[in-house]
Amino acid sequence: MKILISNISDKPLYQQIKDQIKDAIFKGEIGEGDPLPSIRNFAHDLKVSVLTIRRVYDELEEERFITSQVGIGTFVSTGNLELIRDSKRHLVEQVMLELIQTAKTLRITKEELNEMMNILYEEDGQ
Amino acid sequence: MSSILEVTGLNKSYGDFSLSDVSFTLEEDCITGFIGINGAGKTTTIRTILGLVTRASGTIKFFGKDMNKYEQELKDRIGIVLDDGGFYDELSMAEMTSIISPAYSRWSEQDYKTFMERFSLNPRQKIATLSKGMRMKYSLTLALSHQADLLIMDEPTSGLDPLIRSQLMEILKDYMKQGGKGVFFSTHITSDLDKVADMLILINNGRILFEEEKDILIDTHRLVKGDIKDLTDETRNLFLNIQETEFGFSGITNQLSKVQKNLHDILIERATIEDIMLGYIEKETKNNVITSR
Amino acid sequence: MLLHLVKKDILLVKKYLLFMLLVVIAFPLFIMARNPEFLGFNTFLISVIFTEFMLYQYVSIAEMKYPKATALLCGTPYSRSMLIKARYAFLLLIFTYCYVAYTVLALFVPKVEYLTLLSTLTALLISTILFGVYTPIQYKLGYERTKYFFSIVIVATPFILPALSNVDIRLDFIELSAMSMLAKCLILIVAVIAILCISLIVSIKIYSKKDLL
Repeated sequence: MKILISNISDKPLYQQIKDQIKDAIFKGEIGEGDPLPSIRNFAHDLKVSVLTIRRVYDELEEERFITSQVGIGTFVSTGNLELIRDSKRHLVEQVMLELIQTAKTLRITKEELNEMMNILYEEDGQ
Repeated sequence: MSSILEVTGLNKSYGDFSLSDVSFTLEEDCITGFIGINGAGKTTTIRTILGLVTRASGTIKFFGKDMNKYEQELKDRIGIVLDDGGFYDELSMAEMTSIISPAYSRWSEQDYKTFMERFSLNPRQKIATLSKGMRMKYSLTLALSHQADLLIMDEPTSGLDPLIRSQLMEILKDYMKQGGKGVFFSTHITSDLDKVADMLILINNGRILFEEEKDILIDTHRLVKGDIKDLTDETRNLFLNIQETEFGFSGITNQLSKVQKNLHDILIERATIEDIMLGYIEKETKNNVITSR
Repeated sequence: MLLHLVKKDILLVKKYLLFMLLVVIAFPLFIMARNPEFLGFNTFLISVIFTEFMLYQYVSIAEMKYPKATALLCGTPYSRSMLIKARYAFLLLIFTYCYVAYTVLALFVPKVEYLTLLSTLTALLISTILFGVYTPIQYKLGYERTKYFFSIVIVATPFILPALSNVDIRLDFIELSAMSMLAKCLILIVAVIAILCISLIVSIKIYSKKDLL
């Protein structure tokens, strides 16, 4: 699992870590049931505060990406692929809703929006 | 997480300096940095917490227990490192240890020997002949050899070179690995804390200015640089402090989005703990000037 | 734990200890050579007071030189009252040594007579009164302001010698009084304990309220 923290990014530290862990889960870099590092070791390796890692784990657990068992450790959730897939869509849907809101405020029509989407999607090269 | 130390409403007067209503809490598994400039009240606070000086009012609880009622029991679980050690310089380390070690019920001779060796300290050497760094290491040895649950240190790194300072930080991190421990140390060298602190508490003029997670502080504050021409009274207020030269301004803000809306063509960088600390101190000083007019 | 704090006091006066201990032995011998009629109670009393004062002042000076060390000790589970009790124990220890040294001297030197229980207890009472009063005052005002008291005592010692003949007379009076030996000794013991306790309690009260740094 690769987690790189940027000093220049505007995103809060915990957000960067959380997003990259989610990414790793999505991409399958860590699989269902795989163990995650202990809070202390993780904080030490990433050079962030234990409080930050605790927040990351707490939120990821709330969003059902990971589960923690007292005394044993923290693991990627099993049987949640559906959930994960759903939440992937959910994430994109969230951004889309924001996008639509902004477009509506700026009086950009659905057709214009679709057109812009097509151009940008191709432009991105992916 | 339970609190390792809970200080409420501490007040203490010393002639023309006083601690006013100092309150803060230390959680388990956290390294807390107690920062402030010289004379801000860090040492006074620590001495008051340990009962070395009397307090006018306030409660102090360690591990949930009141210091007034359980003093001996609580001190048994606390490791202390005072600035400059606090030793009888005429004695040897072995003699000093023979006085201190019987005070603690959980003294571990094994741990003591291990640390003395690790720090290359010869117990028979007279304390007066030790360098500043060795004194700190000896002090730390005593503090870590009785299975303390909380380490309280007053300016442990002042006057020490960067190598020893980083060695100390490593030792603190090792200490925390045991779990259920806490570290509270005061310093004005904030660069040490950049790496190891979980919480930061800033004191100035005897008052607590903030008590915050280090990562959150770093996330929510930015150092902004730009053209003086763009500054207005309104935008000036978005900054904690601003330095202006003929070439531009630089300032610390915790309202980045508003700054970005109002000022364009600016450079944004993450601020260091020192920048943030100075920002709050300057703002507080400005406020005091305003209210005293 | 108290023992270790007494050990601390001893360690702090290490440099002067040997000298003082020898003085306790040398002084009676000196008196024996010069004024043998002063042997006994007077000599013992002087050596007790002199030794106790000297060592007490040396320990006070050491503590004053290193206030942070006292602070460190108070940050440990050693209570402030324990530090004070150890100081009193230190003084009693010195007295005990003086008595033992004098008795050993009496054992080996024919001209030196053993101390009677009465004179020992009387010496104990007098030194207890002196230190019982001086110690709390020193805790209250600090070493700096009270050290002159010590200098006065040393300077006054040569004048004490003639005054001691008066004490001699009073002692004879005590001995001649109608009470039984047992009763006299008991009264002295009770007085010593009472003064020690009161002085200790007062010292502890004063010290608990003090700012150490």
